[in-house]
Amino acid sequence: MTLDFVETTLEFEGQGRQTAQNIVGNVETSGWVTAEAAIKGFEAKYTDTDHHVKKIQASVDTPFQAPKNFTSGPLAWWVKGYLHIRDKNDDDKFKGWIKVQVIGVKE
Amino acid sequence: MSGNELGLLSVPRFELESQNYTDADGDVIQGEIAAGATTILTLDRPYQHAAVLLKGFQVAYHYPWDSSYKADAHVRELRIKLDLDEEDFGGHDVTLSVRLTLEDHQSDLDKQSADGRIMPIEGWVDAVLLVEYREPDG
Repeated sequence: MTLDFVETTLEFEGQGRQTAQNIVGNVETSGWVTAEAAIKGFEAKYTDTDHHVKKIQASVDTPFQAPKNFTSGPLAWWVKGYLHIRDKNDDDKFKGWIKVQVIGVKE
Repeated sequence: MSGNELGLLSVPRFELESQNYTDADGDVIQGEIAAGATTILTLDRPYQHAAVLLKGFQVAYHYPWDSSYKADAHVRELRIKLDLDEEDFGGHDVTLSVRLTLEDHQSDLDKQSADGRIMPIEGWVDAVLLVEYREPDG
């Protein structure tokens, strides 16, 4: 088994839990049989001023295969992440990023 | 790494909750700022080295004495620490521990206001384990 390492940055902006996803590999040419993802770093900050915090979440899913445009076309390896910072009301906008290390596994 | 076979393993999610302290009536009066857990994974063959990678986390203040009022708070520090017990290297077992900390200024006992109480926390941590297996004997 050998490993490929690909780095990508997911960017987030909004209110409530945010989702972002990037393509990290070509299914046909990568030769990956599976892949994993880990967080190298992240930032989450309120966009207007400071607020209290009730909850913080930063996470990434195991990479998955899906069409490049999610309806048809060639398959790609995608990685998906989630970012959330909120106070008790969850009514404040925030933005941030997660730097993701994707590890592609080749037989 | 020396060219031995590698493995990439998902770790079961660590569900974490810090300790609460209750009074004689059972009401929560104080909490811990940190929560931790340890798990032992047993691999199907011995390994030589391992590394643990953070895949995700969630942490939240948990305000059991008055959830309707103050479910949030300031944050002074957020800390996540993942550790492997290197004494296990060479065997089948991987001992993995995690500690999650969220604290505000009231965590300093001498800076607490009269009604200040340290809020317990709850959350989870996901991790991935990268292992280098040992060469088969012989």
